[in-house]
Formats: sequence, structure tokens, C-alpha cells
Amino acid sequence: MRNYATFLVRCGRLAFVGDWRYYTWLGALTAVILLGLNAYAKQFAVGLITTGMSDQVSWGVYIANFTFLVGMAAAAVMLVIPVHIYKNEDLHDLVIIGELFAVSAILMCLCFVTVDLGRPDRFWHLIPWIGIFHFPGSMLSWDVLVLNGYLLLNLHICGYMIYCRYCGRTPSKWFYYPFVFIGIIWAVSIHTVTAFLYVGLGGRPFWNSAVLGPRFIASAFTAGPAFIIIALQVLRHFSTYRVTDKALMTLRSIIQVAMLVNLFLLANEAFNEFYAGGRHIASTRYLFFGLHGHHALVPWIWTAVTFNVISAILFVMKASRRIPVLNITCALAIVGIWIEKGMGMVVPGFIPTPIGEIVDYTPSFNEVLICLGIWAFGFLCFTIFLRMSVPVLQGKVFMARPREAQA
Amino acid sequence: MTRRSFLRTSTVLATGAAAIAAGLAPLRKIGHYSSVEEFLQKQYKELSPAEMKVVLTRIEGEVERQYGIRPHVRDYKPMSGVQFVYALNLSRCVGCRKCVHACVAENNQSRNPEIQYIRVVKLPNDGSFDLESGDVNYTPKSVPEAGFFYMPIQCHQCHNPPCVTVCPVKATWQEADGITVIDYNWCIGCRYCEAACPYFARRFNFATPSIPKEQINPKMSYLGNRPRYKGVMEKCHFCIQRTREGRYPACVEVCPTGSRKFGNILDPDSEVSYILKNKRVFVLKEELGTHPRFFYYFDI
Amino acid sequence: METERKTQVVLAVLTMGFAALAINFVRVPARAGVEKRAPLILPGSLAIVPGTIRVSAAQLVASGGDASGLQCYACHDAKKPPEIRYDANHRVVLPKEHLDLIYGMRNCSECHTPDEGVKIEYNADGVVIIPDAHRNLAHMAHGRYLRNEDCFNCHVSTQLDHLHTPEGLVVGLDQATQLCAGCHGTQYRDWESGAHGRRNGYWKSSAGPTVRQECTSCHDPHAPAFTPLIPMPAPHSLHDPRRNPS
Repeated sequence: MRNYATFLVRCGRLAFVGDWRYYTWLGALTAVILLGLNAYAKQFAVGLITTGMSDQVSWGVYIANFTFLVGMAAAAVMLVIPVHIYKNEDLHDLVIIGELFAVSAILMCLCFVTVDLGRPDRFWHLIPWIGIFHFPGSMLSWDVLVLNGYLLLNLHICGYMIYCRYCGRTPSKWFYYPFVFIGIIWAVSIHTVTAFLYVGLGGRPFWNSAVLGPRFIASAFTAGPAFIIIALQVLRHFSTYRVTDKALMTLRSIIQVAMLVNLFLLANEAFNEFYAGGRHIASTRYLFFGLHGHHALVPWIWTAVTFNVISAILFVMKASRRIPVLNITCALAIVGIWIEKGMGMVVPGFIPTPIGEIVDYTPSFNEVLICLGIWAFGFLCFTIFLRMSVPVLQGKVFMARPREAQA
Repeated sequence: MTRRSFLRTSTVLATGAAAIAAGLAPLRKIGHYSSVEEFLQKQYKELSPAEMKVVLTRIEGEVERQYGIRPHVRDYKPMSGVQFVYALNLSRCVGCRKCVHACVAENNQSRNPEIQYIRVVKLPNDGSFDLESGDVNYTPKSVPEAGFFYMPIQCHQCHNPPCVTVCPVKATWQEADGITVIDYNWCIGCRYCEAACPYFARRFNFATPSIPKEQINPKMSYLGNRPRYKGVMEKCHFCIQRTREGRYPACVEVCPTGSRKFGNILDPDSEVSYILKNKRVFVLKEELGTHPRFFYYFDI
Repeated sequence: METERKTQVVLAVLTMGFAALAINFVRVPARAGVEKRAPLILPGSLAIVPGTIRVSAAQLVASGGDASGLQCYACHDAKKPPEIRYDANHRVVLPKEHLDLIYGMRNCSECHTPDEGVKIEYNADGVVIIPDAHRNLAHMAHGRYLRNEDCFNCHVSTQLDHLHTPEGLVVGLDQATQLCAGCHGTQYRDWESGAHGRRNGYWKSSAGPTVRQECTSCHDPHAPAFTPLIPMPAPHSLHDPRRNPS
């Protein structure tokens, strides 16, 4: 127990030690977080009128980002499955990094949900046994459960693995293997449950589609590994941590499949909507072509579609085996999916309203600041997690020889 | 760690902390901090009658402080043997929106930002029944306009309400007389119910509501028309403070054409019983299985 | 030492940056777009939802209110039925004195909102001057094909403040509904059961009185079709550009 405490303290210290580039990065992130915090303080004091949301479009970029990030968190499983089920060696050491990424993403999700609440001071109403938890009736209560559960699972697995490395002992299978397998199912479930938040609403035909869940998973398994590919290269560049190109290529082949499935499902959805026609396609039409002179989302979605198609083609082509091309392809995929799943999925569900009113939604400046602040917070968490764990994984920080800790 | 680097680090951290504190400066603008009692208040259904009495007195004090008028807040209970049903005559409605504004006045809805429970949709008489081709912002010199009919939409008080199902904290529920209510002191403001409602019946308080003092209706109910808080949901509650006393809701009272009908469906002599038995009625979005208690009908 | 110097510079810049942010936060607590917007509804316009019930002749009689305008026999001889004149189209030519009478039976607020400030003008004799736009309000517009142009279809010729039903029953003005039922059977049936017309007060009769509005409470017997109404203000969306004229 004492060893564990020392371990935590030493990790905590590591977070504040680095070279000038580390401080610049951290400082810049903190500045953005501060701007976001200030913006949130305004929202807290004045109310959600500071956002671009309205009764007509009652969820906006907060929930859009939340949805996207749940997917990113779930995508960590794309590292876990190859390693633990297919015994892939290239990715073996990267699993923990993927899981740390998942933890950061979940923390961001929780922030995004919190800033979306009208009464965050009443959060305790949501805590089982203390408040009133509407389980299993409300999908939102499921979401609270699975997200926090996933957070704990990943914290446990990462913490345990890193601590074992620190102690220099082989992790006991009984202590993490069951959790790894629960985690795999759990990862799929967090994103399915998030999809069910929308799918379960019969009054919103745009969301009430069985293919939304699979689409969520496919797009998450594209954007998540794409992000990890870029993150690993940044890590490789700024530290002595070894990441092989082969590992990146394994992730690339995962994305190849996921991206194609994602586009296939999107095409399915489009066919289902447009071929049969009918009233329920109003939202889809609004999204892609505009409705009654309102076109707010049209440029967004076509950007997303273009980015997704280009990146899908590039991923399939040999060209994306070259790292710079791969990076561009990944960036396109991330941005494309962020738009498609965020603004392109959440907002049109509200337009037109169930009684036919069309009110456009544009995020306000204050709202954007809060989003940036939360993203910066997520990056800060991920950076600090890496800063704490990489030296341990590299064997530079370990038990019994504390003097060498000052890496 | 050298002394210099320690000094250096602590300067950065101190300015960082100062910036955090300064960043929270807008919090000073919060006019009303909730009291400990308000913060810890239990959900409506868990309050004992004695606790409820304390809560009602506290709320009367809150309203008096904020609006300068001492209201009378009561907790109206459903009557036994009563199931409310609403019927609206689409042949008669002329779209004058008197119901909208009578509702605002009766139920202490916020004037700024504007909150209204009833939306009147102007629909073209073109053989379709497409809400999407409707218009809620019509402002002609006079109504009705030739070639159009009007369809007021408000909370349908569904028998199978999707809004109640999705609420993560059970801050909204259906009462024994069929009215779906909200505990404004329990709602966390996630707006999931607003997304779930197929009738666009729920409203969110995007800012602290404001009502001129002289326009406050001092006769208030806990689950109904007492002033709401910033960041919580609200919706039509069939004027609980009127209907649970046996009176007609404000929208029925004010309708100049007699298009709006309200009553107890369990009473075979009530006007709504007659309408459901003798008129051709329909409910909006029947295919969703929400089973509204709000029926539309036509003359003949 | 090069990196050490860089670190120092970075930390110094950070310190200054944070300090600048802090000052900015304190100095500019509310950024544009966060302030509350201007009121949407003009204060006072909601104070009164305009009255919506006609004060009909029947109600005036029933409530014992000021029915002086209806004192037919202040002018007419009760024994002698007044002579009715028709124009070329076989429409009743209403005597000038009656224009304001019918006008007075209408509820002004059906068309005018209270804050509109309707100016009522009188002629030298103190009789209301009816604006030209209102002339048509005084026309008999009840029933098709001029079949109902005869006053004595409804009014008892010798007792103008009494009505006779098609069955020959003589009733007072306050029981006009009986008369209406003679022709409008289906509406009467619906009205009896509450599907047509207005009910006010209490839905639960044991809790208080249910006020059934009579036909003439809403319909002008001489022109029963509803006159157009001025709609009350349309809703405003939260971020409606109309609310911020700038």
C-alpha cells in the first residue's frame, strides 16, 4: 500500500517536470482551459441562453462532442482486441496508451454532459441511492452507468499494468484479464447505449433508425484509431518511446475496414430515407440540401462527406502507407467523422421540430470557447497521463531505485 | 529541485491559480444562490405532508423576495374518479392566439425570454395535412385567413408519455388524473424530455425567467404555475391550480369560438365524453403509440 | 543550458499570459452575447387578454344590466308594429337610429385590442357616429337568399323585445337560444351537450357553476358569422434576430 502511494506521488511529480516544449504545450492548454472555464462561469451565471441552443434545437455542440468522444473512448478496444484476442505483438505495448486515451476521452465526455446541464448543482439527483436514478427506464441513466463503468475499468487496467511495470513484476492474469474482456464488451456497449439515446426517441424519425448504432460503432472505430495513429507519432517525436511503423500500419488496416463499413452504412441510411421518401426525410433533406430556404448544415455535411470519401479512397490505396499521406488521411477521417456524427447527426434530428418549425442552430462564441476548453482539458489529461506512464513503461522509473526517477 | 526552480514553478502556479479565480468572476453575477434547504430538498413524491408545508412556505418566501408579491402556493392533489381529456374543434379554431397569451398570464410564464406552452400552426387547406408546410409565425391583419386552417398544439398529456420514460432522475411523471407534471426543484435540466416529446410541448428556461410584478398570478400550485427556476423544464399542466379545483383551464375560458373543450372522461355527461362518442376525433401522431389525452375533432 | 534558458523564457511568458488572462477576466466579466436580451413582449400588452364574449342583448336583459338601448317602446308604439322598408334587393333598410343600436351589441374587442385606443365620436345629438368601415356591420346577414330579411321572422311584431319560435312560443330576448334551435337543430344538440359553444367557470358542477354561453353570447343574431379577429402576437424564438434590431 505504501509502495502504491509512493508510486502515485512520483507519477504526480513527473507531471510537472519537463523541458520547455512540454511547458509551452501545457501552458497553452491551460490558457485555453481558462478561457473555457471563464466562458462556463458566464453560462453558469446567466443560463444556457449564452449558447446557440433553443427550445427548437435543444442539444448542440456539447452533445455532439459528447457523442463523438464516446466513440473515441470506445475505439481503444481496437487496440485491445488485436493484442488480447489475436495476440498481435506490434500493438502490444501500445494498448495502455490506447486505454489512457480512452480515459481522457471519457473525462471529456463527462465534462461535455455537465456543461450541457441546466442545473449542474443538482447532479446529486443522478447518483444512485442518494438521488433518484431512473434505471432501467431512461437510456440516459444507462449511459451514466456505462460511461462511469468504462472509466473505472480502464483506470483499473491502466493503473494496474503500469504499477506492475513499476514494481517490475508480471501482472497477475486474474487481476486484469477478466476486466480486459469485460472492457471489450463494455466498449461496444458504451457507444451502443449512446446511440440508443437517440434511437429510442420515436418522435424523431431522423434518429429512430436501427442502423444508427452500427454506424456509431463503425465511425468510432475509424476516428479513434486514426487519432491514435497521429498521437503515437507525436509521442514518438517528442519522447524516446519506440513506436514502430508496423504498429501504425496495423491500425491503418483496421481503419480501412471500419471506414468502408461506415460509408456503407451511411449509404444504407441514405437509400432508406430517400428512395422510399415520405415525410420523415425532412431532417435528412435539411441536412443535405436545405429545407424551405434554411441551409445552415449543408456546407458542413458535404465537407464531411467529401473528407470521408477522400480518406476512404486514400486508406484503400497504397499511398497511405507513406506516413505523411497516412497522417493527412487520418486527419481527414477525424474531421469528417466529427462533423458527420456531431453537427450532422445531433442537430438535424431537431430540424424541423416535431410540429414542423424550422429554426437554425449555430453555436455561440461562448459555447465554442467552452468546447475548446474541454478539448484542451482532454489533451492536458492525455499529455499528463502519457508523461506519467511512459517513463514507467520504458523502465526509467521503477521501484527500489527512486533516485533515477528524476528523468 | 533547486530553490530557483521552486520559486519559478510556484510563480507560474500562483498566477495560474489567480487566473482560475479570475476566470470564475462571472459567478458573482448569480443573483440568487439556492439555499441549503432548496439544495437538499427531496423529490416531490418523497416529501411528507409536513415537509411539503415547510417547502411551500419557503417557496412563497422565495417568490416574494424575487417578485415582491406574496403568493399563495398550494399543492393541489388529483381528484379521485377523474381522468382529464381535452378536445379541440379544428372546424372552429380561427387562430387568434388568445389561448396562448391567456396561458402565459395564468401560468406565470417567463416574458423574457419568452416561454409559451401553446403553438398555433397555420396549415394550408390544400388537401394535405403536413405540419411541415405549416407556419407558426403568421401575423396577418386579421384571422382567419382564407385557404388556411389552424391547429393549436400543446402538451397532449400522453397516456404513454415518452418524456417521462426518458427522464434520468424521475423529475417528471404522470399523475393519477392523467396530467404529466414536473418537479421544478428536482429537474436537472438535461433536456432529454424535450428531445423525446413528439409534440414540441416542453420548454426550457434558458435564463432566469422574468415576469413583471403586476402581472404575477398569485394563486400558485407547486406542480403548476409557480415561477420556475433558470435551467429547468416546464410545460402545460392543464392549469392544475384551476382544473383540480373543478374549473376550466385558462385556454378554455378564453377561447372566443368555443373550440376548446375540457372535462372528465369518466363522467358520461361531460362534454368530452359526448365528443368522443359522437364526433369524429383523431389524435396527432397516433402511430407513435403515445396515446394522447388531447383529441382533435371536426364539426359534424 | 540552452534548454534551461528556453524553459525560463517559456515559464515567464506563461506567468505573464496567465496574469493577462486574469486581468481580462476580472475587467470584462460579461462578453457580448451573454447579456440579457431586450424584452420580447411589450410590458403591459399582456395585462389584459381582450374580452372575448359579446355582451349580447339577451345577457343584458338576463343580468339586469343597462338595457336602455333596447327599450324599443321608448320610440315605438307597443300597439303599432313598425313599418319595415326594403330596398331594391329586398334587404331591410335599417333606420339610422338603429345603426348604433346594432353596433352597440357588438363587442368592440373582437376586432380592437385595448391598447389600440379606439376613439369613439358622437354627433351633435350625442349619437355614436359609425365609421364608414363599419356600415356593413349593421347589415342583416343571417340566412341565405334574403330569406331572413323580415324582422318579424324572429321578433314579435307587437312586442319587439320578445321573440317567437317557429312553434309559436313567445320567449324573451334572454331565451333566444330556444329560437335558434328551431333552425339550427344539430348545433343546438351539440350545444346542449357542450360540444358546440362555450362553457365557462367550472367543469365540475359540484364545485361551482358551469356557465353555458347562449347562442347570442358569441353570435350576433343579425350577423351570426364570426367577424375576423386581430391575432395576438406571434411567438419569438430564443435567438430570433427580430429581438435585436441592431
